[in-house]
Amino acid sequence: MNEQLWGRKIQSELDSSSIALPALVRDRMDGVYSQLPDFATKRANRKRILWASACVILLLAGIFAMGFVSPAMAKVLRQIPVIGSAFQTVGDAGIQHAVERGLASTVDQTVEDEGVAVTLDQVIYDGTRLSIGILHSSDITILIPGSSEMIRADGREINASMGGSTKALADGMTATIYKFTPTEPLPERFKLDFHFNEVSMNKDGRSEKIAGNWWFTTPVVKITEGVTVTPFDPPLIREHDGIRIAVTEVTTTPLTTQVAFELVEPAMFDSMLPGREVVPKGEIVVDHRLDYELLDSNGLSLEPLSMSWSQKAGEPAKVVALFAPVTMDVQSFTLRTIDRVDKMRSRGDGSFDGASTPQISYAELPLDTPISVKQGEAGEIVFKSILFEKDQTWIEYEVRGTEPYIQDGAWWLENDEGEQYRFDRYDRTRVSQDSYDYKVKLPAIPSNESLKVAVYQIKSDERKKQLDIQLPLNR
Amino acid sequence: MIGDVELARRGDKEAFIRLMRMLELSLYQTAKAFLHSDEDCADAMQETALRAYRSVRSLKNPEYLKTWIVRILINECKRVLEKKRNIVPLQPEYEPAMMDPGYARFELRELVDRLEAPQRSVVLLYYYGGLTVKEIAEELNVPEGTIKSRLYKAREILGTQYDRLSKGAENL
Repeated sequence: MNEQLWGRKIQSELDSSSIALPALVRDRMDGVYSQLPDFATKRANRKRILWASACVILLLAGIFAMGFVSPAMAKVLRQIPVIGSAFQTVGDAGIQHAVERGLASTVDQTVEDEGVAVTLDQVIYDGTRLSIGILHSSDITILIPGSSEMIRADGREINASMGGSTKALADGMTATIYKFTPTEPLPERFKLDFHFNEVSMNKDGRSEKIAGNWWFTTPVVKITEGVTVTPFDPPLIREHDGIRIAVTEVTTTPLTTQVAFELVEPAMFDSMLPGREVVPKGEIVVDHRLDYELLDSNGLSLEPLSMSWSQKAGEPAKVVALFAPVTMDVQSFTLRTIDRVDKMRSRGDGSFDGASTPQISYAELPLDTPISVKQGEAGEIVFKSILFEKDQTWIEYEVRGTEPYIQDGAWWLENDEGEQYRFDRYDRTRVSQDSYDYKVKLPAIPSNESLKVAVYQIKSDERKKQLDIQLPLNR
Repeated sequence: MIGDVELARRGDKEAFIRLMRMLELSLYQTAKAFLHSDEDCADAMQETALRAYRSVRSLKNPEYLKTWIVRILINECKRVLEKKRNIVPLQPEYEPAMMDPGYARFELRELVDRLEAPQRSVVLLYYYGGLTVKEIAEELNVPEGTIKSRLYKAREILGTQYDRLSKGAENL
């Protein structure tokens, strides 16, 4: 057989090969697929509506926190979960705040099918978003069908953008939160149906899909206490550099601060534009993306939670930006627009790689005196104290600068052997509302170890202050 | 496939998953060209799926989907290697072994597994990853001539063994 023919024979034989993915890889890929977030589409009128959601980022953060590690099996499926713990375990700043005020409803409803038990733990709805906390064995992964198939209000499917996060608890249990931002307001009171039909069981490194019917029904009452809606009619408008922002409403709740606005932006900010010309391979392009921060009357930035937008052809985009709730008396906000800039390297096929590698700086970590470490253009981080305990290590620190919600998690500790001590965002608690002071729990570290702190150098993106909009609140 | 690529670009998650399932085996074999363990391959493939899902809407030409995802995967494999301070497995791990000629049920894939590591990597990237000789040379930082030579040698070994096994099977 000549080489050309033999080459084709090899290709053909390999293509028809009956080998399958190893169970470990199969399991891990199924895990990824089940956790991919939805890009919701509006089904009602079938008009083309594009949804992009920063919930993706939150979900991915959750996925990374979970680590996708298939837990060792031999755990029992039915264990007694810690009822009322989902929101505390994996809730964002708003959810944690609402729980502290006793505003979350504990459902404690367990459905078992095909030998798999799942508990609907907590629910909360404040008019801006619906959050559902569940508890289940770490041996299973819930295969989510999409928001409209997953939740109903009074029997009607809910069209919503969706995000979520998950984290393993002790004793083989996992807490998962699904967060839905409905495109239309839900009733003040409604019967919530929450359901899914498939889970993936991870057993001895293998993954097995189990079809079943896990259907939960519970009444939901919208939070009204502490909810203030401030509509702007006509909208508050700013225009600059071809960007037009028209704020239509601000809602403050114990769970969320929501800003709704219409946006017109030049094409340079739409990096997902499908018709974008193919850039030659290796060429660097500068990618611009508009982002927003919400400042309270003290000039402090509220933690961003998620952002979703929809757009009909020929109309401005409708953007809904969610931030953490305010915990102090605030009379007004300032919505500030940020031009996020990233350098991207073309792959020559319409896709891009990030072209900037973040720089890391190291500093010795003294155990007795505070130390300040620069975080690049963005600002600095001040390590104030360290406390070694048998099972964990506590560190108090403060970030100062323009990107507090990037700076706050952009560091870790390292010992002389290069062993890293890291944390996820659920191990971190903000301890002051008038500064960016945090207390974080790291793994146990021997107190005699020589430690250094590794800090990412963070750039500070341009604030377009000409677009600042003051948002007075109804109080 | 092109239809699913279009759907995936519009945000259809199920279409994206269908595409990934179709490409999984090729991606796995491509990852094996760089990484030793299935654990590492799974890490690279997972990250590839996430990155591809995040940016599939920026993919302009649907016919480039596989090339595009393979590129992401190779980058991820290199990151895994860098993280683990591993070495790209281009050094021989074991000598090619001849299979028992009387073994009737075999697949060419098994013969590929028995190639020396440098030849095996090239075969995996060429036939599964769909990379050209030039692209493989760039990825492995080896001259094109060396890649051609490895590919030629691999085909020769595979051809010889395949013929012997086929004859052995026929004689059973």
